Amino acid sequence: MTEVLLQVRAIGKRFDVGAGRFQARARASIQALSDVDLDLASGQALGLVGESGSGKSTLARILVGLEQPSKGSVRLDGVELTTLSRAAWRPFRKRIQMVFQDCAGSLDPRQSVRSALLEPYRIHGLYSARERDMRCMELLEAVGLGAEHWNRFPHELSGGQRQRVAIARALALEPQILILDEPVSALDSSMRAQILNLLIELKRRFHLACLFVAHDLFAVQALCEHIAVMYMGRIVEVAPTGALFANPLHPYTQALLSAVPFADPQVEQQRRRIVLQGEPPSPMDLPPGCAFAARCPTKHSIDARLCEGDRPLLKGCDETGLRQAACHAVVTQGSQS
Amino acid sequence: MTGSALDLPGGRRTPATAARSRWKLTEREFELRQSAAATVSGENPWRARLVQLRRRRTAWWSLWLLGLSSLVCLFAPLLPLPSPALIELRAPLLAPIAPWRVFGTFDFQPEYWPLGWLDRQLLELRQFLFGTWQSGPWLGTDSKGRDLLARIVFGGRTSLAVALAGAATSLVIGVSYGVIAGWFGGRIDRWMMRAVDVLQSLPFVFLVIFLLTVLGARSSSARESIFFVVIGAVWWLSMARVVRGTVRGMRSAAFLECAQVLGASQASSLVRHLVPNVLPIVIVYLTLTIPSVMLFESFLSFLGLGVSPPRVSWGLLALEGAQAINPLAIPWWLVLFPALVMGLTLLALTMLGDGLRDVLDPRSQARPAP
Repeated sequence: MTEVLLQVRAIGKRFDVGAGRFQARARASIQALSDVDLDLASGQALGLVGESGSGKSTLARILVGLEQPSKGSVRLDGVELTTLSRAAWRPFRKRIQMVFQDCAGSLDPRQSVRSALLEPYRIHGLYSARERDMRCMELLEAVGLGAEHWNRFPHELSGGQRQRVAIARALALEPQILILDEPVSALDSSMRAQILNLLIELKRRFHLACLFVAHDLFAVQALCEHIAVMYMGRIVEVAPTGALFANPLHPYTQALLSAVPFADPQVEQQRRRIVLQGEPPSPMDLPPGCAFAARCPTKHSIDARLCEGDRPLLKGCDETGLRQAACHAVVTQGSQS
Repeated sequence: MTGSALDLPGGRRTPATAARSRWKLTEREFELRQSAAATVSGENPWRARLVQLRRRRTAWWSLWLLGLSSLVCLFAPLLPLPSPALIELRAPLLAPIAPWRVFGTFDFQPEYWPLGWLDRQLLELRQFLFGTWQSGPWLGTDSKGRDLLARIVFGGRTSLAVALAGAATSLVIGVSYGVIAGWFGGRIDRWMMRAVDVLQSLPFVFLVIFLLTVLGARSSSARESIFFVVIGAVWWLSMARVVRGTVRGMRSAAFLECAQVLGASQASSLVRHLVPNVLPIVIVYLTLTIPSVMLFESFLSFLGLGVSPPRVSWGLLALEGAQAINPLAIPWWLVLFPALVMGLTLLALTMLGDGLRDVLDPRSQARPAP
């Protein structure tokens, strides 16, 4: 059994654009997130996948309080996080931490590795000076760095090493939940594999619940038990990792999976790729129906007017309720069979 | 997995399971690693910075030069110099005489402008120590027969004090104003910057004249303090602008968001992350500000608004020297020495600023590759 730690309910986020000095009301607004529900269980990792602009990073930032959602709630053990002030957030920082995508920018260029790692303890007033140093050294080793990096500055580290330091700092407070906002997308592929392996190891060692935001399905596959696919600010499919790769239900997920190339040229030549036609709709002007309808290849197998006029909701698609998809076609299939 | 193996420092303890290993570094292991780290690089960072500064020769010598000249100016009444205000009409425009020809004379007569308490004590100590002995006219005398060396030393007090006032207001008011405006942005930023615009668009000289006349310069010391206040009041404006621009660019830097996620308060991320990263620009701008404050002071004094004779400043001395030159007599020393002293000081300030900026920036330090 898994215990739900973080409960995300009906989160919506709208960014107003064009509100100027002489214009009180915004000209337009971008719906970055709408009605997002997620559960993060302790010790489990959830991958959040979607193309850029689908709102996945915004969701990650809302979870750590860097953005205020327009509506909805985020609860950690029943405590509402979205309405907390910066000071009231502080005790929860020990339980939920984040690793940013930009590893070069997430470390202060004037802080040595040591003082960067000591900072969380200093902020929260934990441990004695000596214990802090010991923790900090141990963290360095936990992320695969050594004593020789102790006094280095960020510019003296490689991209992968910087990301390791950022991960170590996020782990300093021993959080239960780690939000990873595209932690490997800024790295080259060999580094990427190393950091992914490190994350897998740390997740086991520190018993972390992770939310892994990425646009790369395969990066997510290695770490996560479950995957949620986002499209235009909505979750379109949630499934256990194996099931999602074996049998993607939502047409968008199918297209996403088919876009991933295989290393075997024989397979690569033979497999059928789904090439999406058309452009994603503008986030300022979302269609009333399914946001994916305009590009959906399976739309025509059912009544297209249903897809364009009625927004599909996320529904359970199998007996366990672990698989969920937001698509009229999927539900229709399910009821027929 | 009901019992998550977390040992929260906040007090909530849940039973540990084998799934997660706890901290396990022992004291002994830590000491070994720490000594390894210490041999790789660095001990106390400030000590390391001092060593770095010493390695930069020009910056180090500039620091010494500035320190020495400030000391000389501070303890000026203690030095066996002739009185800077004593008019000796018998010996006007005396050319510099080398110390090995006339080392000193025994006709010191104390004649100063009203001195402060500390200066009077220093003067008494000087008379106790040296009696009536005074140094010879090593740098010559001016058109009223006043000793140039003494005037340069006493003028340095004014010039350095003005520089200090300008630098201090730039640093304290300018930097904090700029940081606040840039950090909070929005309406606060707009109003704060409009205030700066208005202040900066006022004609400087008018403002100074206005303030000096309205506030009523009864005594010359009151006048001088007003003068310092006025210089301070106008000199932080451009620093505030520069800092505000830098802060705005840095406001969305990822490391500030990181600090927020780690739980840092706004004030602490400002002080610990933002200000240190603005520092290089502040230092460079400061080295540009100080010369302009000193020149502004000499300009105002020349107009009769700053320090009033017989008090002097370096800029005023150079101006007087330039005026003393005519086709019949060219007292070159009256221009050369004040200008030389001023130029050297400003050069040293720039060099020191350069060195400090480099030393305080970890990125500029070339360290041996591990």
